[in-house]
Amino acid sequence: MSGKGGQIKETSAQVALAQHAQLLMDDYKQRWLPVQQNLASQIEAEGAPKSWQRTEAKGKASTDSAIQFSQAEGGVEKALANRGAMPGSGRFNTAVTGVGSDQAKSSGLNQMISDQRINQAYTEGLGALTSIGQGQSAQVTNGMREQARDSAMQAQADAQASLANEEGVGGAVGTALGYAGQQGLKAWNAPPAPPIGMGSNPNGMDGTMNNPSAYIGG
Amino acid sequence: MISGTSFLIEETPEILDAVYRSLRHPIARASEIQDLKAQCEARTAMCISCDDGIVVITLRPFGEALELFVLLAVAFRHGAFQRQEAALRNIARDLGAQTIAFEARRTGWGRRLGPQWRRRGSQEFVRYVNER
Repeated sequence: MSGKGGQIKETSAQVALAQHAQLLMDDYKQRWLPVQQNLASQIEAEGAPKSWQRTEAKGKASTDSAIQFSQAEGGVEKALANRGAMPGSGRFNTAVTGVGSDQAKSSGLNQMISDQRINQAYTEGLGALTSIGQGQSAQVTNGMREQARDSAMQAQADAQASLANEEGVGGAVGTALGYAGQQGLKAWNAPPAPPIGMGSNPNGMDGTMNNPSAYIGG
Repeated sequence: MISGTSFLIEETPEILDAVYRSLRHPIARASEIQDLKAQCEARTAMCISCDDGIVVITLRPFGEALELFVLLAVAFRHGAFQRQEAALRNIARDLGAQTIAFEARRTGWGRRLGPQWRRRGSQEFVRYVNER
């Protein structure tokens, strides 16, 4: 063990173990560095202003709105027809056009939510760079899913609100006219349609939303 | 990130210079920092960091087993050791080390460390990775 000058020489076993330790460290780096680098570049890419994630999310937001509002429009048409409003009549057209107007508002709102969600995912991703492996890494990719889900939920809620609103307006006019047929002009004193208590502010995009589902997520 | 901890591997050890410059009362010498950088570049040591601080570790034989030895640790905020001790054990476990050790250059570590830590020699503390 001891050599000249008091120096302690390593045994062959110790040398082998030291080499083994070096290999283990190299292996460790080779295992983790690519994961670290991939995640970093993925998060960087997601945060870029024109990243495909943003584009895709915005596209999905518009599609969600279109699908939900198409269903709502069908619902309004059916409801109005059941109440005796014929397609092509003024009342029918007013109600259906109202749905289209709400769709435009919902689509804009959805795209805004999508962008906010991507920003949130990007910020979370930067944080998750230091917490991946603890199960929190899933949040990075979940952020993308959440924004899509939020947009879809917003579109659905807006479409339902629009359906209820336009159906209510059309229905109220129908009720009033029907009543008028029986009671003459007294029918104008019929009570107004009940207020709609959900959906985004129908008066425009002023940021005031009373739809709880708009805040779900994250 | 690495080994399920909040640590990241520092790919370039130059960060150690910046960290060293920022210390008001460094307990390591500038020449030691250069030595650590050289070890990182030679891949015999690894520099890892997280929000709590930066650590330079190496894997070395101790007896017939491997030991994760902390060559340098700089805390960025209070409570870093308590928060990151388990993380270092995770990394040590992932590297195949049975023990984790460091050399204490400041006094008081004996009171701060848990009962799993034992003194080795005059300045070193060591604990088994898998001991709870």
